[in-house]
Amino acid sequence: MRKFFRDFSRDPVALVFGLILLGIYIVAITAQWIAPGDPFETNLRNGMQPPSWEHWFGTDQFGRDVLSRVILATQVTARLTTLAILFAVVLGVPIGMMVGYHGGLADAIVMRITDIMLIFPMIMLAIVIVVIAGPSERGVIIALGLSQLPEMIRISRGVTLSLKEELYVEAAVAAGARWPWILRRHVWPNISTPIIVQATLTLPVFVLNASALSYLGLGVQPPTPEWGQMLNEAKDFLINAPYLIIGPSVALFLFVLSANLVGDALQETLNPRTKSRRITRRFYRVSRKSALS
Amino acid sequence: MSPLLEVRGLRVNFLTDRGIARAVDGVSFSIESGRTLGVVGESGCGKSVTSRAILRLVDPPGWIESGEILFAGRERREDLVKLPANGRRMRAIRGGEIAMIFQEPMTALNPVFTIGDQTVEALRLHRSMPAAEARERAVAAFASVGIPAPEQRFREYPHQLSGGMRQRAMIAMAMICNPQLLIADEPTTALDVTIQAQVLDLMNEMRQQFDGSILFITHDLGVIAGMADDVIVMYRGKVVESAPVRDLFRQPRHPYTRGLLRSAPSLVKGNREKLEAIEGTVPQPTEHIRGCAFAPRCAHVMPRCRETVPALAGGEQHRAACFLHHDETEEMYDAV
Amino acid sequence: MPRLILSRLVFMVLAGFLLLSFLFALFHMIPGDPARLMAGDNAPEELVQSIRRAYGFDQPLHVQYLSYMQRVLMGDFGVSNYTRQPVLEVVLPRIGNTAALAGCAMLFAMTVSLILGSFSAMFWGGPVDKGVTAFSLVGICTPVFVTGIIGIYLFGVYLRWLPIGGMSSWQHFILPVLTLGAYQAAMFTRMVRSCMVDALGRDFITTARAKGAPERRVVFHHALRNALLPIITLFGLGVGHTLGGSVVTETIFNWPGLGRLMVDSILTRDLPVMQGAIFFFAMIFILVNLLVDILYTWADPRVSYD
Repeated sequence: MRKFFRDFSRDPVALVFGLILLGIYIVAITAQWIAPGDPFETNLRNGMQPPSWEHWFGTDQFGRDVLSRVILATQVTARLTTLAILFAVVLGVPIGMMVGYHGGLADAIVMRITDIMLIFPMIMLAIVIVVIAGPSERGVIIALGLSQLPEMIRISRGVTLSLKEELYVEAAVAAGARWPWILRRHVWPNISTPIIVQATLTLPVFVLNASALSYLGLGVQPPTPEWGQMLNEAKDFLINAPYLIIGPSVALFLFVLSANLVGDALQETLNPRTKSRRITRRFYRVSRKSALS
Repeated sequence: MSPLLEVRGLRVNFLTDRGIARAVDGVSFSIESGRTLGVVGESGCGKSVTSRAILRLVDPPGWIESGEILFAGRERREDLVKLPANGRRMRAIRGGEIAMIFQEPMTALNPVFTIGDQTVEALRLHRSMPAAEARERAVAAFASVGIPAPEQRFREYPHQLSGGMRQRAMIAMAMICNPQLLIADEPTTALDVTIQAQVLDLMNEMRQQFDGSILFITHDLGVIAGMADDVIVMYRGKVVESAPVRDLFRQPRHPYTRGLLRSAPSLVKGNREKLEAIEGTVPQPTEHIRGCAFAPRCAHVMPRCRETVPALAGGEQHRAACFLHHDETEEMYDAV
Repeated sequence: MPRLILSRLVFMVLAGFLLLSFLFALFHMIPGDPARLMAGDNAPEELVQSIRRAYGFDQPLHVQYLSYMQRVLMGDFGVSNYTRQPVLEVVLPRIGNTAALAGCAMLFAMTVSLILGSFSAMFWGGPVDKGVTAFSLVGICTPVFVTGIIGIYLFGVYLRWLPIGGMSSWQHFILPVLTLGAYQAAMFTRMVRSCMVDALGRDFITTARAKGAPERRVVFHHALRNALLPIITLFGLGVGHTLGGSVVTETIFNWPGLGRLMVDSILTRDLPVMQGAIFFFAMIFILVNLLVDILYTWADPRVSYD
């Protein structure tokens, strides 16, 4: 773990965006306290104000402070995506470990189902979920979680399958250990790293998709603020108040960018196969100094 | 007459996780026209990198640090190191005047093109001729390297051929432009033993008919004995011994060469118990060693071996980089 | 090859059948009375009753299922709750519009990514590579609706160069196609680049160079043709992403496509249209998957023999 932090801190880009991501989560947690105004308080007389010292991102058609709404939306997005990832992990990892360990018919059926699920893009699945659950935050969480379920099942199943062949697991079986114990004791510790990497790589996708659903009106419902939904509203006022798109767009971009970069860096440090990249980067610095190359 | 190829003080460096590795560290040798030079050494000794450097095919993270590669091409003698690596002249030399055969015919052939297409490509990159004529020449080349039903093979993909056939196709591809120098980088290592013998026979046959020179790289001394006219032995990026093949096998001078000979099963006749391994392991390429690189593993190590690097010295023909031979100490060594 | 196509066709029929069954189940999973939903909240009780009888919602489930399947196989997906048009008539023209949008966006994305990705890999580690990598990173971090809104503001509202909604002329295609295409292009470029870097590291590349092939030929003939195998799979998956993205793009630009129809029908609770739209949308994915499989056998000579 210490080695991980050392590798991580050597990469200045990852470090900076790691700090930004951390900042975003701090904003999300403390949203209620740091928001300069009330994100819900309407003041029609004060509507559609351009950015000013008082309202950094201006005010919307109801006179609500956009900055405060962007900050609260950070919390909504962070909560939504975290719960969706937890949903996928809590449901997917046990299923993957079980079918990977026991194999047989259940394994075959589960893998066929994940194959079929992978054919369809997330939005398809999300729309079906929304049809059943109705447009809501809960619907988004279930839709995102389910869309990532096949991937989580595949990863944990793959690791379980390869570990089953390991000598120490076979020894544990021979010594009479039962499968729940083996899965918890030997398999789970090995699954956590790829699952964490996968979860980090999923985060930016979830953020994008959550806001896309809300943009379509199928996700978070007003008056709860969400970036995509705010942009959908702002689109109608593009002629008179184009500044309304600044806040949510920048927040969305920054969150997705930092989550992407941190995910890449995490994968690079935790996965030794991608490590050679750093060497090649250094190669160009060294070899250019040499006369011949 | 100047030699066909003369390499002087070639250095190739690689950047690795642990720092700069000197893969080729001041190597010099020359090949006369019509001769075959064998290069022997353990894996990682720099023999493959040397061959790639001649064609300017050292890929990042490696680069040629210094040295000269003088090649007497069809028009003039020139230093390949000074040419732009992917320039027009260098590309004309590659495949046209110097051709190469690789160790692993499975991965060295492009899996998505037929071997016929790949052979025709080699020809048409250097000779402008109609497609039909190129095709005829390629089929004839397949026949000459002993590929049965060459017309049919022409249309097949690498994965449809056996390892031996693939290597024959590689040889046909390399020879099709009638190069002056053929570099064979462990051409038989990846093959089954019986196929190895066939491909070696073929190469020997080619060598007889072919008026150019061959640079033959291998870690197998048995193969060298049958193929080469002259031999250089490499260890950790340096040439430690250079001799005509007969002299090398009769009177090996460098302790490393002697070790190699003793550890080669095909050369120790009769009594198998004599087979020995060389003590110790090759040090990491990034590790800097003072003095002779072989000193840590050498049974005859002297104090000065750990101080200074011995130069390649001896007669005109047979030279070794070892202090045991610097002061006419050959008798002393034989007595040991 | 024919056997593969046949087996995929069987799979397609099977998937379509499962999909229909699923949609039927979906109808009954929606909370509330389907007849009431179809009639609307303020409809008089008699209307609800008549709808219930007309659609057979008072019958046992298996009877409903059989009659549903029967109707659908005859091409009868019912009529829209609002326009009273047959669903098939509403859905079919929309498919072409979505295909046009997604097709143009895919073409744009594939062309851009193949060029940028190959050059990026060719000048690996250099400034070209860094620029392309930065471009594609920004691209994948900007959602379609942000690009779309910025595009509308810049070219539609501020400069007034391009129309911002509908599809009545070729100018109407520019913004939606670029919006949807740019995101895909960014995504593809990243992957094309890594496929190409991988292909350029293989042994046969050295062989090609050793033959004297110019760098251009090494990259665009030897490496690209090999990288094409993973790239085709990638583009196949990309069609799915593009269609998914078209839902949002169509909504932004008022594009009369299948995706917007699907969203609108959900928001208005127009169940028959929703069923039809989802069915055809999903079938497109299955069809695309089939095509990708066939393309793959063409691209990789090894697949058809192994």
